[in-house]
Amino acid sequence: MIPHVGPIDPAVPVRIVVSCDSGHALAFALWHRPAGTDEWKKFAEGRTGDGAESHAATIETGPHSQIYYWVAVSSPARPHAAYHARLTLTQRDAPVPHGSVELRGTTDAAGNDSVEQWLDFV
Amino acid sequence: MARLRLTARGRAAFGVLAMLVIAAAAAPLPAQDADTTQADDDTTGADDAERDSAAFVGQAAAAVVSSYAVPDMPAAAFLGTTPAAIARPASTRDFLIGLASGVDEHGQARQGFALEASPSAIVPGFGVSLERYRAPGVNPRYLLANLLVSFGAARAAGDSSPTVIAYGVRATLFDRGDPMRDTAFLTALGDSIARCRPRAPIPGIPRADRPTALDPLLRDLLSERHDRAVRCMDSHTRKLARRYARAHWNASTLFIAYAGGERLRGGSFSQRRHAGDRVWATGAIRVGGIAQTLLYADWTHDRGNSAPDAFDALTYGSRVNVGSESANGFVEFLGQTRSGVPLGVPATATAWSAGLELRAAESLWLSAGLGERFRTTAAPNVVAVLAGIRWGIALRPWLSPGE
Repeated sequence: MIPHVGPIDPAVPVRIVVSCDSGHALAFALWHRPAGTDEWKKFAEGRTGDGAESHAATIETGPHSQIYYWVAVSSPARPHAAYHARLTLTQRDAPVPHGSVELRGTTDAAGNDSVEQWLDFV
Repeated sequence: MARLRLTARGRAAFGVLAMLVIAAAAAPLPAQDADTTQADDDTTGADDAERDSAAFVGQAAAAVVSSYAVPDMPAAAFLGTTPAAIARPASTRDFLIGLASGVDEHGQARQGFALEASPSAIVPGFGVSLERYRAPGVNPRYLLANLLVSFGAARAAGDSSPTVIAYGVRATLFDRGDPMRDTAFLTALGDSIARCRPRAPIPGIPRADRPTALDPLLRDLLSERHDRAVRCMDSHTRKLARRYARAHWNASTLFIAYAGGERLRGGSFSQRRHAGDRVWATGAIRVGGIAQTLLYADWTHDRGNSAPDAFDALTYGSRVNVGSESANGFVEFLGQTRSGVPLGVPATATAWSAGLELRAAESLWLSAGLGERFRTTAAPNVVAVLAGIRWGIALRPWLSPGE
């Protein structure tokens, strides 16, 4: 099932933090599709080593809009290792209901994996 | 970092030098027993059985010290098996389910069971961010992130043999060659995996106000995109990791591991007997820009099926590697001390080896060596005899410690 996140307050931007708790390098991209439209627009991307203190993005959105995410993790030193990345959505510094999206899995023989999926705001 | 780069003339000189060294080392060979690396002086006066036993123990040491590395999965090493499939849980729930899968419906250990887990991945609150992983100095989070526990079960040959279950732990105390603590590597790694980012979401995603079950077509599309992205990442990161490993082949490291086991009569946990313990420790010390000293110790305590079968063995090795990504050589000394050996069989034996290797071209290696290491691990694709010396010609390096 596709995660339903919210309810959210359309008057306040949603902040999305992409983090990893398993010592992996990461890269990510986030797209947004407003309610009632067919067009996706990329609003954030980042990667380990890009100089950002934390990987976070803010988007003004509302119910029935969608976020599409691609998150990649890598640690060539540790093949076949479990990883744990997370998308954390907040509004006014408070967690959005159901807004912690856990990304867990095991990397391949080269130490890599990626996840892409979308979530619906309610 | 200083690296040895050979010109064509340099390689030719290296080849000639190698031949001379090997020829000089090979000269006393006829005076040695063909099956042992012990010099005659060491075995003069010993009877044939004792000499054969010493050679056997020396060969055993060479076989045990195959890579100067603690096993990736100590439980499997204890059992002496290579599991066909290893469960690697990524959450507490998966870990518990994985452990439960090691027991069948009759409450007995399941054959072939193998599980490996990282406590930092499965215990809530034990997660380690990259920033914490890279923190300098004594870093408990680094130790935690590299800690691995493993479990396995196997049955020895024979229908009446008991099942043996094993448990193990592997720890990295420090590793100066860990690329995940290197800022420049991480920047390059981030760039590499970011190149595999898709340009847009998959087509056909239903709007949020419509039914949101993932239909098979979208599931296939996501799976295909996942495979493509991971292939792309593998291609980029493998090159990056290979370059880093070559540049840091002689980094200082220290690893330890332990495994223990229980013999289960009839596979039942209620009829168990401690099977033994095994401890590994390996260290590497960087010596300048082109050399490295490796140290290895492996202690085995095997209780056997009964008291007369019990033994303890300590296998140790020391090796000096000198070289670079294109030319290298080594000298090593191996030994094994064993208790519980039959009368007349030496409890201690040693062996030595030496070798040289040269990359003649991309994916073409020329190698020569003497001693147990060369005999037990060399598997060249072609063997040629030049100037009376046996040269192995292979498509990959086998002496190079970084490979």
